[in-house]
Amino acid sequence: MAQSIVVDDGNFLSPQEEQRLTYILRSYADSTSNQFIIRTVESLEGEDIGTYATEQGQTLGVGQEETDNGLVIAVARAEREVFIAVGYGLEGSIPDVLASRVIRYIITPAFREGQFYSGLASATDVLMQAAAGEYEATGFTAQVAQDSWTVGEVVWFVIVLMIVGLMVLGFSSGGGPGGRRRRGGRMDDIVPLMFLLGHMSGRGGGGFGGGGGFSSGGGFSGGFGGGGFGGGGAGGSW
Amino acid sequence: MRSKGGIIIALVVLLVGFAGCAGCGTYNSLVADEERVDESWANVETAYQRRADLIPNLVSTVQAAGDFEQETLQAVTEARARATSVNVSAADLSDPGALEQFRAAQGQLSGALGRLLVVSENYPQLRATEAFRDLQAQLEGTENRINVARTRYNEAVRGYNTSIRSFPAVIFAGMFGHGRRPPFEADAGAEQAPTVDFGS
Repeated sequence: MAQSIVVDDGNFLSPQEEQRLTYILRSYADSTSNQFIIRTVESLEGEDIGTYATEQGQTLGVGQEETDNGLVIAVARAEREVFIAVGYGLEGSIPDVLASRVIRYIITPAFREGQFYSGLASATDVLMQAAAGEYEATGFTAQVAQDSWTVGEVVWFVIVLMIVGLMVLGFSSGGGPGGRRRRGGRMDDIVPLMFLLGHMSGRGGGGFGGGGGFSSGGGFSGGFGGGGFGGGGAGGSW
Repeated sequence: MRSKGGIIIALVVLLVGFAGCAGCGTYNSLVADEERVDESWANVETAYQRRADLIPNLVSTVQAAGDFEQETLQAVTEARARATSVNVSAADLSDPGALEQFRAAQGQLSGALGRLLVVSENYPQLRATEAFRDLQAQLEGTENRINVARTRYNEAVRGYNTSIRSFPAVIFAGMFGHGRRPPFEADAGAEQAPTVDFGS
């Protein structure tokens, strides 16, 4: 649930509209690596909407860790407030002024007429266009592919290394005093090898964890990336 | 007898060695915590600097709109000059007085900005201009960033203050000059004054 792209606790959207937005935002994330999410609530219960949106982005880690290219649109029914929180990495392509204009000219007028889906859809459309081209999706997808390949590569690498190591040991043990010397060298070979193996399998595990997010249905392929938020963006009320 | 003395010496050496190891680990994590405090302070200063950088633009936009109250504008410009002249380096972070000075200067600027926004209510044509609305959005954005940076700074300080008072660290934290760091409190006035109202 928390991994979902759209969480409509404020009941602004029909299930179909929610699905459509999820689909749009997921395909966008797949092609650009930019992760946009929507959170609506019944009431903020006294919390500032800017703080809420920024905290959501930061704690969930929306956007990629290296590029911080996440964005959160938060809507509160009781307060009639909306906020677009922009991750660090998108502050350049979506400055506060643009976020504010999107709210003033797209979201607010639509929301006033009760057109919540069309307001959110047109707003995300503009924001998606503004942020497109900032980062390349290939960086993200290629990284996932690379990770899963390195696991296979490492297995082969280790097997080859072990064979070579055994051959070297076999040669040196026949060499009398030289063999004794090699014994110390043997541990030195194995320790970095084990370190390497442990390191790589750890990375592979991370990749699998990302795959888990895939099955959650409403989430991004690969889950949230760990992007950071520093308070950028703008808010308004309708 | 000699062997007994030898065992005691060996034990003492061992104990000191263990304590040293534990101390090293704790010392390193203290350094990391302190580093985090310094880093988050840099973010606080950046956020305030960002606000100061916006002000010349705000002042000229307001002036361009016609006969705006000169007094209010002048107060903002002066408060900005004062606020940008007070800086707190990482070395001064343990000094509550330096922090207080910084807070007071920035608080004055917050107050002057708040007054400017209140006075601007009397100039509907100005408030209707795109330039003014954009500036309002930018100003609100910097206030958000200031809040976020300040909250994170205080979290870093709390973490650091907890670790210097935790068990192994408390023994030698003082020896290496790891003193308590004061949090950066916002003054009540600064909190509300600059809140930008999107009243339309």
